[in-house]
Amino acid sequence: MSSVRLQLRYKLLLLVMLPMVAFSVSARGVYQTDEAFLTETFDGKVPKSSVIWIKGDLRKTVADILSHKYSGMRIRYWQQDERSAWILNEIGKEQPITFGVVIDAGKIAHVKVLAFRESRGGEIRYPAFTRQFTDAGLIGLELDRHIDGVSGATLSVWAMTAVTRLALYLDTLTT
Amino acid sequence: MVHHIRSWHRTIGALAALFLLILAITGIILNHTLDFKLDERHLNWPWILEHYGVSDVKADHVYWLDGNVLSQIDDQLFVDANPVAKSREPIVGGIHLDEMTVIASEDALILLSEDGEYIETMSSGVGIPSDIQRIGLHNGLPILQTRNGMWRSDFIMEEWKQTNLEGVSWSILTEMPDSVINDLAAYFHGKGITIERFVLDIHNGHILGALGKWILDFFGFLMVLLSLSGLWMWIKKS
Repeated sequence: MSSVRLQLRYKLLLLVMLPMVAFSVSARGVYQTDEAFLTETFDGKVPKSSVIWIKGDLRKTVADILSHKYSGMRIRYWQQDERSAWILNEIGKEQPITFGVVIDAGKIAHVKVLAFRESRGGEIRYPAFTRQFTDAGLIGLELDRHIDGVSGATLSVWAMTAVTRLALYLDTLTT
Repeated sequence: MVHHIRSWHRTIGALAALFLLILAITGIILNHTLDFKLDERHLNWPWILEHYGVSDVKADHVYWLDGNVLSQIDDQLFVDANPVAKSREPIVGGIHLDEMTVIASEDALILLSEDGEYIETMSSGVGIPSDIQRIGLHNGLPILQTRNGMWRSDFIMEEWKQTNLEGVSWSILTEMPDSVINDLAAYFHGKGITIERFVLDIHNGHILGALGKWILDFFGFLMVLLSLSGLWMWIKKS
C-alpha cells in the first residue's frame, strides 16, 4: 500500500475517532448547580428545605429501591404545595451522578442530570431520554411504565430510574 | 579445544551455581505454599513495604479536629484512620458542633454523626456559602471564612449571615501523627506482603524490578551454555 493511501487511511481513522473522544470528554461536567436547579424549579422562590431521616424500615425500603444501602442518614428535599424537589446522587458505573428530580402531585414533572462524572453514559442527560419519565408514578416500588434504555449507557439509565423511584417513594412520605 | 571448553564450563558453572541454588530453594518453598500457608502469612518489615512502594501514605490535607485527625487522601475523608465520607473538592477544615462533626470543603459542608457515620452533604442548594476557605467556631457556633467574607450560622446551618468577628477558633492544618500513618497504611495495604508473593518475586526475579528480568535472562543464557558445553565434553570423552 502506498504511503499516500496509508496516510489517508490514518486521517480517516482520526476523523472517525475524534468525535468519540470529544464526546466522552464533554459528557463530564456540572450542567446546573443545586441552587440554580431549585431557583428554576420554584420560580425564584425556593422554600426552606426539610429532611427525611433514613432509619428503621425506611432504610430497608430505600436499600430495596437502590439495590444497595444508602450511604447517608438523611435526605433533603424542598416542598411547596404539591411540588417537591430532590437532589440525589447515585453511582452509574464508578462515579456518582447528581440528579435533580421534581415531583408534582405524586408524578414526575421532570428529571435532570445536574452533574455527570462518568466517562460513558452521558446520553441520559438529553431531553429525548429524560422526557420518558414525565408524568411517571409508582406502582408499589416500581415505575408505572417501561423506560427504554440507551445503548452504552445501561448503568446510567439504571441510576436515573432508581433515583426517580426513590424520589417518588419519599414524596409519598412528605404529604 | 576440550581443555578450553572445560575451563569455560567450570567458570560458567560457578557463576550459575548461586542462581541455581536460589531457584531451587525458592522453588521448593513455593511447592509447599499451601502446606505452610504462605499465602496467608504476611511480612511487614519496613524495608519490604518500602521496596514494594506500600509504606508511604501521604494525605493531601490534614487538620486537627479536637483530639482527632481529619485527613483527605484523594476523594476519601478519614477521621484518624476511619474512612467516613467522600469529597471530590479539597477539604479546608473541620469542627465538632453539638453532637456532629462538620467537615468543610471548598463548596459544601459534610456532616457526620457522633459515631462518625455520614449524615449528608450540605451545599449551595441549602444556602451554604461558596468558595469556603476555612471553618471555625465562635462561642460554640459555626463560622465560615469565604472569598466573599465571613459567615456565621447556628446549629442547623441552613441560614448564614455575613459577619465580621475576631477571636474565631479556626480549624488548623497539622502534621499526620505516626500512629495514624501506620493505621492508614494498614487500611490501604492490608497486613503487608504475603510470603508467597515475596518468595515468588525472588524466584522469578521480579524482586529486582525490570532489571531482574534481564538478570534472569542472563543466567538462563549461562544455563544454555553450561548444558551445551557439558554435552560437548561428554561426547568428546565418549
